[in-house]
Amino acid sequence: MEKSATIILNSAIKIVIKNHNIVILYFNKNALFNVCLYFKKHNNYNCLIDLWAVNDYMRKLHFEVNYLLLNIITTKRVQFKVNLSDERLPLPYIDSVSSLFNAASWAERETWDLFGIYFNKHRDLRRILTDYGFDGYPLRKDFPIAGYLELRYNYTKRALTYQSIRLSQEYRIFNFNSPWL
Amino acid sequence: MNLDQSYAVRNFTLNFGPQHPAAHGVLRLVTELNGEFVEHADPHIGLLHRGTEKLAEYRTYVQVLPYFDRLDYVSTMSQEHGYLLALEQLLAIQVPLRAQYIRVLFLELTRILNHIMAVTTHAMDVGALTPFLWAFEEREHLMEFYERVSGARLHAAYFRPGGVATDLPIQLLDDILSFADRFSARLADIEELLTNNRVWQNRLIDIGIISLDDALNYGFSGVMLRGSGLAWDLRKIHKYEIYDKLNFAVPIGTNGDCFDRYLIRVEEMRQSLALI
Repeated sequence: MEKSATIILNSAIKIVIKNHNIVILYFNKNALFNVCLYFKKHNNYNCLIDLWAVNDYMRKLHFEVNYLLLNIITTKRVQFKVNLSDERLPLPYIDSVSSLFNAASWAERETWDLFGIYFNKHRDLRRILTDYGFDGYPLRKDFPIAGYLELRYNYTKRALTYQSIRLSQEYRIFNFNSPWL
Repeated sequence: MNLDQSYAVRNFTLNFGPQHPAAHGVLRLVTELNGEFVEHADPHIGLLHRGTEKLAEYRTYVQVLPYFDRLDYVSTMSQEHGYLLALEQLLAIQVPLRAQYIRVLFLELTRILNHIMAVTTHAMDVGALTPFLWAFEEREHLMEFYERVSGARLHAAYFRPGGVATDLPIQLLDDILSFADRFSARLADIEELLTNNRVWQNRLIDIGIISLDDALNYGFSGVMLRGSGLAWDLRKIHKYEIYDKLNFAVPIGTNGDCFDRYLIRVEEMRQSLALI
């Protein structure tokens, strides 16, 4: 136990201890699955509270996936951060933890849907929130807030049709100092 | 029908929703039925998605607050509060004591508002309309309290970073007290109609049993987790606001079925009334 704990902690890139019972550990994406397995099986962190991604606003293809685990007995939380910013890859990917935590199944689908991060070995990685036949990843910083398509009822065709969005007024942003808008 | 012959039996796939009165919103389920039993369901939950995160990217911390009302329109202030707790922790903001008391008061009112909705619409779906009508009369009083502090019945935007929007108006506390006195009788009425009702029991006991392991594995919280037998309440565990000064009990279930969860919700309403 002691030995495996040292191995796990040594594989962490960085460790940050925050207040409010949260420890943040930075890991390599190859190490993550085994880290989750270790924390679940040997440390009683058997509840995945949330899984989410962050898109860095300065670099377009810079992603960070976060895992928040809860130990229900000691009420301690641990957060893992994995950096997925390999610019050579068109599609960032990481191993799925949905075989360990059922809660991860939908959270990973959501992350795939909104950020376009692929989860290896996920059993059912479909889009979950966006429209049927949606294209693009809405929460990436290069996706415009109004989107690309709009849906309307076409009286001549008597059906709902998609068309590219036409705004009578541009979306106005008043925050001129912000570097990413 | 010739009984000697064997037939290949296939499960029936049925589309439910997106628009259906029992869906209480827009939810689409692609269900696989074996007789009356749902063997498998594939929920399409995205029809209700509003893109709040994307909207929040373009707004300041204060501007984004009303969006959190819209996330759950039956417990608006709790949603605001969740966001504000994170924000206040991030910016290290101290909330004045009076604002903390006001917040807790309205959080508990919101809990009652929410549980009324959960219990009575559940009863309506199962076949009892009366509790719904009775409780919604009381719910209207609760929303009147909302209106008196914030001007809005549902989307209050009353909690603000660092406190609440305005102080309580005159007479409000007296009216809340008289409501609390009246409501426990109304709660007893609802319980009389439901708890020992044979139809209600038949349709809830041993339905939807969730074991504790499953509940943790799926990351449940709140009543769903307490129904499976774990005394997990963030008000006790991470004592935010003034909950460390308050005394209340956390009811838990034993079977993890729908009936347990119903009983917990009713008991939590009583605890909230006591807190108020």
